[in-house]
Amino acid sequence: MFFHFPLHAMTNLRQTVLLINTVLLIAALIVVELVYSESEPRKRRELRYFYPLFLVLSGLLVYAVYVQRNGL
Amino acid sequence: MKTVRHFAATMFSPLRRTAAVIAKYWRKARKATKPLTKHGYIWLMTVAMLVAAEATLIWAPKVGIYVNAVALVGLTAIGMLSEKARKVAISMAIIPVANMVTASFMPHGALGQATVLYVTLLVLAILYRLLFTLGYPLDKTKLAYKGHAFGLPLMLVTGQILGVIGYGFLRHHYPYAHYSLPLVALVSVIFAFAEEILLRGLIQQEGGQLFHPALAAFATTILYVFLTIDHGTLLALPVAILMGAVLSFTYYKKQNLILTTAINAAAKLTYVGLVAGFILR
Repeated sequence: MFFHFPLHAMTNLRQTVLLINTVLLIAALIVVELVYSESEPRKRRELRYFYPLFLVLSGLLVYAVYVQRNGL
Repeated sequence: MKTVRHFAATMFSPLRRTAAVIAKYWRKARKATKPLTKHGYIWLMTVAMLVAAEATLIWAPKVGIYVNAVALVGLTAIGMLSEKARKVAISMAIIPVANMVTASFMPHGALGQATVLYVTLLVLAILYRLLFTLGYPLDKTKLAYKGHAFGLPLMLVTGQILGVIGYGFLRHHYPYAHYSLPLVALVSVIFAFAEEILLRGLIQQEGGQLFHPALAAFATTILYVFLTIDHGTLLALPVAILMGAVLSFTYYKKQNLILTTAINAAAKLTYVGLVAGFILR
């Protein structure tokens, strides 16, 4: 009836997810640099579709830093 | 020699005629089903990635988070490499991103987790729906108002029937027993809106531009089932299949988010109301 999120509060798992997220963000930025940095402006405009995803991943990176700083 | 040839011709001519008829019908069937299998490989790849991510998250969460990340990478890669599949792939990538956000914050309690998941889905789905439909003519989104006087009540009744069926199967698996009823009722409507705007308003609509609309409806039904099932009970499966099929079919026929949201919200409210009235009192 409702969407079901199958994971329960596990600190280890959260650390892993935050780490995966950071790796994904760095990988995505490298791919964007390689694919789009020297392409024509029309092709570069396609990047706007990925901005919201990058924004969320960046937000999670900030949250990961916050978690590490405060030892949560 | 001539007699032998004549005998062979009379023997095999019915076979040849039958083979010709079969070949003719085969060509016709292939021609008829060709639109249905258009871009089938993209459909298969995108749906399979999400299904694998959700299924492993349910049965082995520690592996599931890696498969979820792989699904996100795969869908983003399809979005970058294929121009025609870009919108569908990015729409589907919202689901693994929402899973990652929920797993990162990992709030305590079922309602907290569901809220983080749904809010992420809702915000990203609205953003992408706006981004994708900026250049569309109005008739593509078909949020028409005429016909609602008859359509809306019919959808509300359909939703209530689905809610009663859901209560019949899942009355002992209500996830929000420790929360106040008005709060759950309120979030149920918001959850219904989030589900519809993501699955029907974004994935099915964008999928319908690329694949056959029936194939897009089938994809959203599969996704709905895998997002809804719970490893605690198999009883969630028939309800998820039924609800997913009804909602996808309604959008396939009408392309109207108001109608599908009405069904979904009515089903959820009926289920919550029946559980509160008969089980939790």
